[in-house]
Amino acid sequence: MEEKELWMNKLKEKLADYSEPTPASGWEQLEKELMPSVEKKIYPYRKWMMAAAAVILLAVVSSVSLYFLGTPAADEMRHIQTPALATTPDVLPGVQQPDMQGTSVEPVLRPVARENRLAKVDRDIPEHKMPVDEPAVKDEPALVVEEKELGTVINEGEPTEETNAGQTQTQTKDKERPTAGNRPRRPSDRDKYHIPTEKPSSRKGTWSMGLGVGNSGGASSEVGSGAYPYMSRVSMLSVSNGLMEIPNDQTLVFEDGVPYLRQAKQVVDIKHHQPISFGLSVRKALGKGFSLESGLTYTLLSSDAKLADNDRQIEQKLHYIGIPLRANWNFLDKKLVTLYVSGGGMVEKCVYGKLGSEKETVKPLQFSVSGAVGAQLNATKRVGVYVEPGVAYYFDDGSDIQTIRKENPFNFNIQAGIRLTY
Amino acid sequence: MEELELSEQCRQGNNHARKELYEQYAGRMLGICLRYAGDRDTAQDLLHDSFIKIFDSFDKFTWRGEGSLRAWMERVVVNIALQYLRKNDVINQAASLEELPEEYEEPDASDVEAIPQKVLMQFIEELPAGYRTVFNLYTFEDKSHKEIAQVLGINEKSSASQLFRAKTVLAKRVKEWIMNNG
Repeated sequence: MEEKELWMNKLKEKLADYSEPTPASGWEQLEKELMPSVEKKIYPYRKWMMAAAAVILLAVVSSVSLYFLGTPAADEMRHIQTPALATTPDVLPGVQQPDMQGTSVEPVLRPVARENRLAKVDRDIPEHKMPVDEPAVKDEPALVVEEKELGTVINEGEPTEETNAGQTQTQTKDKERPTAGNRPRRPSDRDKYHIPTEKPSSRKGTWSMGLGVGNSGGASSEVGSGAYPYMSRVSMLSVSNGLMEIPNDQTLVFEDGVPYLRQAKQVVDIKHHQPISFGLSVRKALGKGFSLESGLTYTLLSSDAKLADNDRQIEQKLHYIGIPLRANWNFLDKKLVTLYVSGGGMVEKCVYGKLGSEKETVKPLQFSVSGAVGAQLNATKRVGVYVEPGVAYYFDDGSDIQTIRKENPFNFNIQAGIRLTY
Repeated sequence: MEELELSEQCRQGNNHARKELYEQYAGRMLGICLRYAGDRDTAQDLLHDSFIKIFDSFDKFTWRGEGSLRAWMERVVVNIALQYLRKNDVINQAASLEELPEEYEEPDASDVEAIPQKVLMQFIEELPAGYRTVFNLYTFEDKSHKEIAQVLGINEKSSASQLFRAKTVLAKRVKEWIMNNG
C-alpha cells in the first residue's frame, strides 16, 4: 500500500464535511413513503371504497315499541284479542239502536261492551299507562260506566278524522239527539291507546341479516293492527229512523256484531319488513384520523298491506335513493384494528313506489340523522371487514304513507361490510 | 434534539424526529451519494433509499457516543451506494479506456486547499466509475486494497491500479484548475 500523500489528505479533509444541497421535496417524498409506518394508515378511503363488494348484514333490534313489548304489561296485552280504549266509553249507550237499512234492531244488551269496541276506530297511539286490565271492562260494563266522566267523553268524541267527513254529514242530518256523548266514536289524535295485536314479538332481540350496505330499519312491528282507522262505526244517530245511506266508497261491515262503515281503498293492516339498503360510499381522509364520507344509497322499504275491501295481502314497495354525509374519526388506528366513531345525516327521496299494482310515491324528502361506532379488522393493508352498530332517527316526512320510518323513527341498526382502501 | 434523543425518537417512529434527522444529515449524505454515484439524479435516489433503510433499521443501531449516529448513517449510505454500483456493474466499466502516464506529479496540498469543495467534488464525480469507487473506499472509508477487492469482487492489484489511475486523473485536474484559476 502506498503512503497517502499530503495532497490526498488535504482532499479528504476538505471534503469530509461536504454537504450537498438537498432537493426541495426530498423530505416530502420520503415522508410519503414512510407514511404507512409513520402515521399508521389513515385509510384514505379514496374512491369507491365500497364498490361492488360489500356484503352486508343488517340487523335490527328494538326501538321504543319493542322495549315496550318487553314489559309484562305488554305481554298481557298482546294476548288480548280486542284492543281496548283507555278513554271513556259512551255514557249513554242504552238509548242507541244499532241498526242498518230498513230494519230496526233490538237495543243492545251490553252497551258498554259494545262501546269498548269502538276503540277499534282509534288511531294507534301507544300509551303506556294504559291499565292492563282494561279489557276486563267488557265483562263488567256497569262498573265502568260509573267510573267514567261525561266531560271526557265529550272531548274524546269530537270528530277529527277527515275520512269520515262524508259520513258525518249523513249522521248530522238527524238532529234529534245531538248529545255529544252519543256521537259516534271516531278516530282522534287524542285517543290514547292501541294495542298492537301482533304476533308475540318473535323478533325481539334477534338480529336479522340481509344483503346490503347501509342503514337498516328499526324493529319491525306492525302498524295499524289493532286499530282500524279506516272504519267508522255506523252512527246510531243516522239509523234511528230505520234508514241510513251508505256512501259509495264505503261498505257496511260487522265486527263482533257491530256495524261499521268501511272505506274500501284504505290500508287496513300493514306489516313492515326490514329495510334493505345498498350503497356506495367515498371517504376522504382529512388527516389526524378524521374523514368525510358521502355516497349514494339505495333503500327498499317493503311492507305487506291489506286493503279494506280485500282480504288478500298486497305489497307496498317504496324505493329510495339517498345521499348520506358523515364525518368519521378514528380514535384507534392499529395495524389490525381500527376503531372509529361516525355521525351524520342523510336525505332520501322516494323514486318509485307501488302499492299492489298501483303506483304510490312519497313526495316529501326523508331526512334522518345517525351516529355509529365502528370497528374494522384489517385483513391486509387494503381490505378490511367492518362492523358498525349505530342509531338513527328518521324525521317524519309529513306524508300519510305508512312506512317503517314512521313506525320506528328511532332505531338501532348494525351494518357490516368489506371496506377497500386505496 | 441531541443525537441520542434523536436516534431514540427515530427508533420509535416519531415523525418529527425523522424529519429533523433528515434535515440535519441529508446534505452530508447526499454529498457521499454524489461522490459514489457520479450524477445528481442517481445520488438523490440513493439518498432516498438510504433514509428508507435508515428509518427501517433503527432498531439495529446502538448509540456509542457522539458521532456514532452519523458514522452509522454514513455506513448505511455507502452500502446502499455500493449495492447500486454492483447491481449495475459500473465498477468494471471504463477501467482502462484512457491512456494514462506511468507517473504523475503530485500536486501541493496548498493547491488542493485553493480549490473550492464544489470543484473538487466535480473532479471526483467525473472519474470513471471503477476509479471513483476504489478511490472513495480507499480515501474516505480508509479501506485497504484487500478489503476493497473483497467488497467489489475484484483482485487487489486491480484495486491498486484503479486507485493509481484515479489519483493521476485528479492530479491532472488539480493542476489544470490551478493553471487556469490560480
